[in-house]
Amino acid sequence: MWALSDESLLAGMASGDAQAAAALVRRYQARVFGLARAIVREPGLAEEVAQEAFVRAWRHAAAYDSRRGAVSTWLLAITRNLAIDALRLRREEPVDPQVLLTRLLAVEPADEAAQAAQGEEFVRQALRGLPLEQARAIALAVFYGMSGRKIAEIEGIPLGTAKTRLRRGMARLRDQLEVSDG
Amino acid sequence: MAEPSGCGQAREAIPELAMGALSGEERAAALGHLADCPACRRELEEATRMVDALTSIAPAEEPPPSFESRVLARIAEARRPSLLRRLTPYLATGVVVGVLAGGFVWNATEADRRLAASYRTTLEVADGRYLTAAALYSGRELAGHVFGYQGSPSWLVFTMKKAGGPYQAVLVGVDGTTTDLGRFTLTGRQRSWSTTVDQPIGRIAEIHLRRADAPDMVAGFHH
Ligand SMILES: [Zn+2]
Repeated sequence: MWALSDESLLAGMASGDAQAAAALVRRYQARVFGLARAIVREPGLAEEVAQEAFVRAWRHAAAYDSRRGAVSTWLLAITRNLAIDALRLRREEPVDPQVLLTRLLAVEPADEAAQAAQGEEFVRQALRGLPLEQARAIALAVFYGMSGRKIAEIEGIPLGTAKTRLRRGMARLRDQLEVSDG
Repeated sequence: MAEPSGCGQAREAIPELAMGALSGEERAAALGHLADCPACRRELEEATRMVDALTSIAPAEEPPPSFESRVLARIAEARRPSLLRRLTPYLATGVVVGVLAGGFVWNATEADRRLAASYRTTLEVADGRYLTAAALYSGRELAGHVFGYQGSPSWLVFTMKKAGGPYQAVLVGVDGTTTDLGRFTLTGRQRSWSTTVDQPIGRIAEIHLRRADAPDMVAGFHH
């Protein structure tokens, strides 16, 4: 079962194969739960979000299109959307952006597939290379779904400045990651 | 073809659009521009890839041991057919399947976020070819936008600047035929309505919103 591709596991899951579903859950539960934890923090809520992410993946397995990206990317995008929705429903005051950033960047190389981990480490390095205020703005927007307006409020800066930090930060990340691709 | 106006504003909005963080009106304006501008759509795709890459750096963490069995139990539970469930329009990561022919009303922020997510999927799947958007006018005043997505079924999403109604949505085909799409009223924070349509999106000439006390609001589709 472990040798099967993500795509075959997803297809199996969609057609009601419980073993395929179990294998897919086992393969990705740590990343899905980890992402949910990074966003909503509270372990009970994070587990709820992570479970729901897999249920949605099962429901929409037929709509998954491999040309659009890897199963893992798709699964994490579902998780991110659900976690941000959960956060908004709770209307909790978000954590200090510095805490979030530290959590994202200070990671021991994981014992997962070496190549995937390398790709992530590269993204982390690119984020570390940004001016701190740009990295914070990006982390707030990507992981908490905050708009430029909300970031401006939290950081105590004008709206235009918040939008500029997002735009410049994204452009810079893109430059660095594109160089690495080529 | 000349580049449509408004690229500057759209570029400003693209990072937040890709992150799903834009407020309703800004998002509607940006999407309206993107529907006509391939260059900005490519920008959005790039930004989306960056957001996906960033999402992947959250540190992995093992959930409690019972996690797997609870997920499987939930899936098994959901497999049992239930009328309510079959009629529920499932919305996730951009996949919007409108199964209620009469349309349904979304909460404003959720609808907007999902609209952007849907837009993203449409771009990725169809390279933007099947998406069309039209501004909806009440007289000369901009009242909202209508987005059309080709698919099976095809569907239309209305995003309005203000709550209001009841409106009677009517589709005018390029052959002049009219089709009643249903009625809706937007109250409180609800600013969006969507419905499936039988016609291909490319066969739509206009969408009218009829109301009791004023002339129709009209959106003209230019294919
Ligand atoms: Zn443009």
